[in-house]
Amino acid sequence: MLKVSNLQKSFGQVKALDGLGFEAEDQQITGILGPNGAGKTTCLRTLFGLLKPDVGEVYVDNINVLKDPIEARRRIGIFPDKFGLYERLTSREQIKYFANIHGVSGKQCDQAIDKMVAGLHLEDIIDRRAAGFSQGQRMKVALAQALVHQPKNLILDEPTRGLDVMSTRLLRDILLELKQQGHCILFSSHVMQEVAALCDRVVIVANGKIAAQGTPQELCELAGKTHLEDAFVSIIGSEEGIAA
Amino acid sequence: MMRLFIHLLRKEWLDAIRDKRAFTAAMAIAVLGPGMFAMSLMTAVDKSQSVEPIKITLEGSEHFPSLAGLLARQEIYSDGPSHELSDELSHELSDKRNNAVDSKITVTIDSEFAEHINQSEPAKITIKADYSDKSIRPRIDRIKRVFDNYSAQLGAMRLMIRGIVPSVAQPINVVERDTSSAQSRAGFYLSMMSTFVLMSVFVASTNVAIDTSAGERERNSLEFLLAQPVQPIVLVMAKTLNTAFFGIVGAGLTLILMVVVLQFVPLHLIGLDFDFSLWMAFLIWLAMIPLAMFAAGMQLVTSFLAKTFKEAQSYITLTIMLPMMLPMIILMGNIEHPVLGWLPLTGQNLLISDFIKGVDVNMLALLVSSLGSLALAWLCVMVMARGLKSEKMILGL
Repeated sequence: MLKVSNLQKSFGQVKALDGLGFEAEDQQITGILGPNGAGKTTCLRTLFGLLKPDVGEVYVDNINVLKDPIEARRRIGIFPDKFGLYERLTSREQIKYFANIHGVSGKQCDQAIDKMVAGLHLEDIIDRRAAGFSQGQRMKVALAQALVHQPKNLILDEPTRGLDVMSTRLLRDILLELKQQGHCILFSSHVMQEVAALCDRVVIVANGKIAAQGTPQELCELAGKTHLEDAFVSIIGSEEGIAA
Repeated sequence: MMRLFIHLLRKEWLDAIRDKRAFTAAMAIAVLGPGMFAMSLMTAVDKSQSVEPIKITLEGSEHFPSLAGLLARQEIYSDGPSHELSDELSHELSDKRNNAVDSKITVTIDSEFAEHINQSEPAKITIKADYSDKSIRPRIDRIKRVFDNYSAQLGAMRLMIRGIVPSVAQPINVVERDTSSAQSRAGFYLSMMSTFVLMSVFVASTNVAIDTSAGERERNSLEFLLAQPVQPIVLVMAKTLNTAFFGIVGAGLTLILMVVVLQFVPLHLIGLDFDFSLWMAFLIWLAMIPLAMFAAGMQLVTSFLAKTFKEAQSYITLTIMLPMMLPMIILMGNIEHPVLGWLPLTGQNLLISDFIKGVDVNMLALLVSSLGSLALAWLCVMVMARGLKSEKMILGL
């Protein structure tokens, strides 16, 4: 479970977060939807404990991120916005590195990696160095390194960006499967179809604030529209930054 | 904690060692130092063995033709027509004469030279040159020596003809032994050696330092790494130790090659007398380890502060100036202060030259300068660990 409340954060004159607050429950996929610059990534960075909000609280499984960021980080898997793989390491070494950081090592680690290889179909790239990987292959490795320690919570920042249809589908299937297993999944996106297809709950963020939240269905009803896209535009009051 | 540290260190090492090009470049620089050292020693040996051929203007050589041959035997050639030399000699020497340096010295043989010689009167030779030009002095001395020797020989013969032992006319025999030049040369080569060793410690670790900090940021893996459950200080310690490792390897390579080089150079020919064994190289190498830690810390701090790989490279160039300039400055400025032995970097610099010279090394000073280096390395680690908690550093703002 992830929870932020009343987050406020300014960078100089710019107010990136302005009282943002929401919860992401276990066994649910929660989407943060918002135009570019709405504060999505800033919000996720506070969840990782990388940014300290000026005001507000951040919890991961009831652990206060501001007080104990290390313990909180143990409970999340991160699929970052821009994932830089170590080009000179093989996928296995890469995944192992992050497993080790999370305290998974030895036989336990080998088993965890085998599980990732099977689940994410990494057989052909697991012992290859990352230099020269396609975007889809990179996505799979990034996902494996986020999941290898079997975190209860998974946070993804714009996960489908730059992915082809097959990779997007694979990602979607995996997220749905993880949800079935009881994980809490939070992902930010500005792609409407993806959010509508996947999310149990949608949090619409604009200007660092919650513009609306609910199931996709509820949001459509709230805005009196039949499509989530129209509902979104109606709620945030502009057409800026949204990909259909 | 310890286990995590080892995991982190292993990955840093793997990542760095696989960067084959950067690794090769770093080690090539470590090889370059001893190479340059060998070359400059060889040239010095070469120079000390051969006299530089010079060219002079010889006026009036027709008044006493044998003088030109006398000078030519000492590699002093006249640029006039070669009729005064025997054909054979002139042919043999024409090549050498062409390579000779023009000394801008004019030697004039007096028109009554032969006559005065025959009458046992002082015969006159005039040497004309710009005496304010310092580089010309040794050449004038060479020319004078030729005439002095000839003069002494002639004088001795005259005395003998008159039944007098020539040594009567030489009451004092002055023996000159020039040690100053050998000493200053030794100082120069020692500081050159320590420059190359110190430099290798810094240069061999530069690429790794940049790659693991600014490079990691540029490749977008730094932020992700910092979002993992790991204390920045552990991460930074692993990076520092790994970076230092490459500096230590570089220094080792340089030192081994120095030993090899010195085996092959006949040092006594240039008046140098130091013995550099593998064991000494090993001891110096041990003393370089704390310095490598400091070098790693300093370079990492510098490149973490940079936003990009390129920026880091230009900053680090400045930090590398330090080990290059310091021994030279100390040598040139003839700076000698007891405190230098106790400080990081200057302490190690002094150690290298003292050790090779065979002077007793002040172990306490060495210990202090080593601990000082480690303390500075630790300070760098703390600065980085603190910095990596700051939002600015994380986001590269």
